[in-house]
Amino acid sequence: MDKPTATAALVAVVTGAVSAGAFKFYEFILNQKREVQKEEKAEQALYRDDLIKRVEKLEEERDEHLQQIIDLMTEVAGLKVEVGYVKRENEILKLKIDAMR
Amino acid sequence: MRSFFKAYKDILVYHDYGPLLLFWNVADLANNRVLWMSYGEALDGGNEWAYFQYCLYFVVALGMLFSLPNIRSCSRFVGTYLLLYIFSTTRFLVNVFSDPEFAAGEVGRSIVVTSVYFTLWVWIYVKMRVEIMHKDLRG
Repeated sequence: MDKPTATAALVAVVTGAVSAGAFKFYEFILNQKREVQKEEKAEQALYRDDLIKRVEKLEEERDEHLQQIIDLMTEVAGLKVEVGYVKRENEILKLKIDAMR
Repeated sequence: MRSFFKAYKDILVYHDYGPLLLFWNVADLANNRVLWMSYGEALDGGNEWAYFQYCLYFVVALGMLFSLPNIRSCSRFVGTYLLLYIFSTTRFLVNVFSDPEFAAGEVGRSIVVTSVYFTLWVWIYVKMRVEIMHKDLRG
């Protein structure tokens, strides 16, 4: 093998090895970036899941409270009617007492 | 002016290499001396070493052409082609700088053309490898 051929072969081999190493390094960097992105995404997903749970819980509580308000309103309406009757009865009784005097 | 150069940068970064590689590959195969010269002729001219080199180029270019749909295999052929290119270019440069007679020809033109071709092959190879890496990372 003459000198130019040997030099060329050596340069080609070294370039090949260096470029392979450079690509491996770049792959490693990309992997690292990917891992960081994955972690960030996992954190975001965790926060999102927590928010979803909290919203579900709040919605359940709201439904319960709405039902309680409806029950209370029904009860208040019944009591209003009852108070009306009692008032009327009271007026009648007052009139009866006045008549007896 | 800035946007003009940015357009060129975008072409290099975002445009695909596939059609270029296909046409370049076909042109390279058609231009290969193995198709237009017999081994006997090369032997007569004392170029048997160059003939073997062209044979290697031809085989690798053929492999590139047939593996074009499979980026992983194709990148191996492009890598081999690039190594062959580095080998022959280095050999040429060593001859230019060590042999004054050799350097008398159109060396400047050859070096410029070789540099452009070399950049082209490096660009194609880097694009392929980066694409493979991203594909691997995505799973």
